[in-house]
Amino acid sequence: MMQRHPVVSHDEWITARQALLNKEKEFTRLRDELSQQRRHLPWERVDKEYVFEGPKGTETLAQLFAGKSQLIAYHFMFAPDWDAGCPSCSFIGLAYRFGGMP
Amino acid sequence: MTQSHKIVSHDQWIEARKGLLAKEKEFTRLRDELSRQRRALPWERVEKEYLFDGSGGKESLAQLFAEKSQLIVYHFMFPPDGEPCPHCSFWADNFNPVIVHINHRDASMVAISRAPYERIAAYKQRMGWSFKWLSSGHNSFNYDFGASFTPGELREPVFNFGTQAPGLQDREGASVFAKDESGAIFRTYSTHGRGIDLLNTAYNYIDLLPKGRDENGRNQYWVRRHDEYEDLPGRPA
Repeated sequence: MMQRHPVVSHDEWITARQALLNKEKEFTRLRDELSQQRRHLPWERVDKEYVFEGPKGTETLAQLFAGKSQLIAYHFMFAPDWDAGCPSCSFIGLAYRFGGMP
Repeated sequence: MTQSHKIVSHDQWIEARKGLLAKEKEFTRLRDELSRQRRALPWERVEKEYLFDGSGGKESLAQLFAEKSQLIVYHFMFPPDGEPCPHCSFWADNFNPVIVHINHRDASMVAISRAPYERIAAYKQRMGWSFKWLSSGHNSFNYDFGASFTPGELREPVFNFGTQAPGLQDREGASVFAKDESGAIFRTYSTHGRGIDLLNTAYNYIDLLPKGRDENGRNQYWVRRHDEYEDLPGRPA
């Protein structure tokens, strides 16, 4: 499979791993900080009335909230003249499916 | 949601968004750099022969590679005499559907727990998962890879590479292994605690929401197994 990789003893491995752990922890904290800054962004009011077509006929943007106060819309690449949705968007969508029954 | 948030015009919103975008790009580059450093870690040879109980009887660590050269093990907290962890179940909901893609990057992925295989199989069926899940109840695998601890270790800083007390006999994590042409097996990576944060796809989305994780320091207090949420259709209130 792979090119020669440095192989070390268990103790040396743990030491190398601990050094990376510090950087990983820094990264995790940076992620939390970025999420916080994202929540501090101002908001933009949506004034237009959007109506979408779905399995139950037309639905408004407000209806897509389904009784919740927050909504995430994934922008899935599927142009009107395409036979199928984008494989890369399908890759991301799969990860979000709950329970994952194939 | 009560609304007391600053509202701006479209142009002002784009301007503010671009400011954050610069930081997000920096973060993405930092993630790539960290992944590169992770791959540059030395490897540790796995000399012990581990045998696990699975659906097909006993399987060795080498067999779990399933003809691939790389293996990801999710350390699923499921003690022999206790309940399967609801939080690990949340993580399993996230990794179960993506293993088909991981398999196409020369890698196999399994979960390993200390519970007897019969209990694992029953729970796996209940949750509707398809990933391979094995019992390490008859070997020292969990203890060797920092996922299980003896009663005497629970208050000692032995978890997450010596940085935390485990508190419980089983803890969450993931370990990664490589197998070379001669069949030798190496540990290339392990991660625990918030190291598995990024592996949870749902949190990646929840972090985009105005309310965020909304846990106020109470770690995942809201998480239930996916068939245990009280508002599921057809479920008595």
